Amino acid sequence: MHPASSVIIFTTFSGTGYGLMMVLLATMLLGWLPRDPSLVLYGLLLSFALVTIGLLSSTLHLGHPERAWRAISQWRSSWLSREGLMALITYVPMGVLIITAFMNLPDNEVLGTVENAVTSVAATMGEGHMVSQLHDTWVSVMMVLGVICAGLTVFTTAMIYRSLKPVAHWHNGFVVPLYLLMSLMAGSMITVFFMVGFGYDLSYVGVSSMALIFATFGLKLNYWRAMNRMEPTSTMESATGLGHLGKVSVLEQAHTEDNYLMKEMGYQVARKHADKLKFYYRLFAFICFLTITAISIWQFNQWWVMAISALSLIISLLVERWLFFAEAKHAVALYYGKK
Amino acid sequence: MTCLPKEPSGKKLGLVIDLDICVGCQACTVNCKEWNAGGHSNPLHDKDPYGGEPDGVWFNRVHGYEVTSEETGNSQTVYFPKSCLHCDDAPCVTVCPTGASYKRSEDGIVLVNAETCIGCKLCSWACPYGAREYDDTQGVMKKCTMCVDRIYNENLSEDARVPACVSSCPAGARHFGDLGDPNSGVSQLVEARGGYDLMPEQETKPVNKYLPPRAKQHMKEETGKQLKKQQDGPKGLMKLLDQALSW
Repeated sequence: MHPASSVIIFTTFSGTGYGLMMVLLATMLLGWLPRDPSLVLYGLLLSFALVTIGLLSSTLHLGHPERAWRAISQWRSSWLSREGLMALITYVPMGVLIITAFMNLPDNEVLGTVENAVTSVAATMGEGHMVSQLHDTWVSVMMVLGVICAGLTVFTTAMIYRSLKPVAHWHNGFVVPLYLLMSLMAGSMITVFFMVGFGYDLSYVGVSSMALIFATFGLKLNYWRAMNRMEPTSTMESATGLGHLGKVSVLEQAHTEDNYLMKEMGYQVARKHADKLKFYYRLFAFICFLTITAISIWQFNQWWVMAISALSLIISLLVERWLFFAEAKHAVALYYGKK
Repeated sequence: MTCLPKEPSGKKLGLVIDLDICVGCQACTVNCKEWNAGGHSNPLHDKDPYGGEPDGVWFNRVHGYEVTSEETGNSQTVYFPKSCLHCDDAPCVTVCPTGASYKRSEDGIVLVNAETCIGCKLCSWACPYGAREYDDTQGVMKKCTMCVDRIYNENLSEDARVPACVSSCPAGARHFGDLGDPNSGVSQLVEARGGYDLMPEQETKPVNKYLPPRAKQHMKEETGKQLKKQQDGPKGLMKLLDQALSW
């Protein structure tokens, strides 16, 4: 499949945004992190920005972006429609929490937190942050809703791919857990950065993040192994129905130039490029793991460690998603002799 | 609505393509383009048609395959026209987020409403056959309409109310009719010739059927020996005589 940058940006950005929302709110609900209004505000604002950039990028690649609103109408049958609808619904708890957090900021907190995030850890450990926490029941309800909605949105995104039978690389049991794990992993790493920035003790969050990076990495390697061993759903013989006469090969292409089908669905990445990219994915996932371990276990939380960590996260996410598209083979390519 | 029709009429208009007859002359593809460039889905874009990199939407394309028998090593050429199969379980319809893609309950034809299509291309990803092509000049998806603007067109004479590809086939390799009716001509043809579905494992339940090429008549062993004898000519004394006399 053609790895369109709009779709790669959409799935990685929005996946990360929803992951951040899920992890940030879940850690607060679990009591691993105080319900600091400024942390909720900045965390969810970043999540809002990532999700919105992703969604805008996905609508811009449409032939008719001005008709995008129609896409939420067919939720009864279409996973793309369900995703659009869930993305809109998720803005509700996200928006309510952002506004509530803003209303509950202590005086001059807006400027204060920015300063605190940059200055030393000790300064932010003071009483300032604990003054007003969001403990109302309805805030908890909104947080629970936020986690569920964000999770469902990532789930529906994954189901768009999972449900496409002609693409065997997508139509399998790995895709949904991979999308959810990638999202949670990215979200947990950003939550760690926020907690360090705000001077909170990482406790379980650092370890959870390490576990998530490890689990995602393991599942991805298993996915690649399974894809290498996979028997194709369809063959040139079943595509033409001529298998009873013998092996089918292309004698004459249907057209001289690449058409839409070839450009969109006939994309094939060279094996050596794929192998090289998989090496980069392994390398940068390992750096993610190493830096998060350094931050959470050895308290090695200099800004440059977090910068390396964040950069490695971005690279590994983009490489993974690019390969997810580029390596996926569509059944229609069989008609053109691409096995 | 992009749900499949809950109460289909039972009528399934479709094509039966005879691979034993098709010689890949491309008349069907050209007439399809000609008719549809002005019909229901007009215009069908044609970029750089006489230049180095022509590009455009075609609803019907003819592939050429070579099939090689693993037992005998003999091969045969099969020309293979492919267009939308108007599937009963059309995945291109159910994935559509806007309702632009739909299957008609009255005759099973799958169509795209160009007024509401957002051009997300997901339907083309969902179709294993490559029946849908994106028109980047219009920003919408295009596909075979089963010439819905011909087959019910009362301005045309009755015998012309068939899809353009069927009307133009000079060899009679394409048949049109109701595949939902077991007594129709096309259904009986499918029955008699062992018509089959493309990629049944994709579970799309195509309406269009393909008739397999008839088994090639391979030379019998006896005939082969006879022919070789004729080619080699006489042997021994007769060969000497033959050579002596044929100077």
